[in-house]
Amino acid sequence: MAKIVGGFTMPHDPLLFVNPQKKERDHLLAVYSQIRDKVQALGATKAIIFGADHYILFGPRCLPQFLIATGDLHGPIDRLPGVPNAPIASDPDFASYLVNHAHGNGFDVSVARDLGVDHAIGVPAQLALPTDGSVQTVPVYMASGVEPYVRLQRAYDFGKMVGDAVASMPGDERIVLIGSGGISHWVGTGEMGRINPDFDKKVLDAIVSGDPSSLLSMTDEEIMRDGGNGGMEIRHFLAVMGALPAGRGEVLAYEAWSGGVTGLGFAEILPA
Amino acid sequence: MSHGVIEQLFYDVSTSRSRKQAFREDAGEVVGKYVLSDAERDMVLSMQVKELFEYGINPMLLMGFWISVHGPQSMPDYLKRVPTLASRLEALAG
Repeated sequence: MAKIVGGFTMPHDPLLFVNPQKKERDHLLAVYSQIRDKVQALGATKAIIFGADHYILFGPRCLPQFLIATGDLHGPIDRLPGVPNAPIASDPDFASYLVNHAHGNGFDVSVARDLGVDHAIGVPAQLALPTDGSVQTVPVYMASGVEPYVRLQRAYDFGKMVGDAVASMPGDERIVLIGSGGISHWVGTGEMGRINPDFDKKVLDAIVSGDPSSLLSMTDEEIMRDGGNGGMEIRHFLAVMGALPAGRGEVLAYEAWSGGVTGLGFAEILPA
Repeated sequence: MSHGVIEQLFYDVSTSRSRKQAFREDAGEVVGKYVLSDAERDMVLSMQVKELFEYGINPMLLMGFWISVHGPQSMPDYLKRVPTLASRLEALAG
């Protein structure tokens, strides 16, 4: 039977790669490699990555709440130094299985039959997964960057649905889940550059405890006030937590890195 | 109110190399292809960041549009002009 063998959360802050202020960052980039080693050690064969579009892929005329890419993949299309815009191994049959399961279980997800992903999916796919294509990626885009936002509870429930889909899937696939996103960050607003370590700690504490209640009880206004509009990306962490209920986490690294604009948190979530 | 049309314009300029080039060469002609009110056209052509933000344009898209037109080195100027998210939240709270 297929199983989820692990979950991770990690940032995708473009400034970590552009590094305009030339700040020390090697210790942060090394965490992506650390996660890649963990994914290999877990014997993973598939990765489901939850991320947000940054108004790069989907325009105002069509803004999906949930989208699963079922075809060929490449990216990130928004080029970043050290992150190649290159093919990403995919598995259309597995992606289509997830779509079918979603449609049968209360989530009318949209699909992309061919997709150049942005940095939300591209950074973890290119840096935190093996480079030999042995772990095939399914991108799941959630409306976390552009209104109307996916409800927090809905994001958690989506993860639970994914967990159920894997549990009922025949075969012996070993699946890792990745929640891609910064913690506190303000993007394109007057606060840009502010990082709120208190908000970041609250999010990481929830991940470590395996208890999503403190996150699910927040309103969007509270998230934007304390974590910025970028903080809405905690939905991706909730999706991973929903798929790994009661799975306790470990913080691999956290830094309010002065070279960027984002609370950078890396964590691992182990199945209960 | 053509809030969505402004966002479409910003999205097109931010994501299309040819549209970006066309906007840099003749912003008026590009903006003329979109159905906007006179006030909206003025906001866009004179890059009234504060007014566009207060109009409800997505900040990420607004920033992306600014960078597309003025380049990433102009971010300090953008940040001087753009209001805070807190101010938008206060306005929404009434």
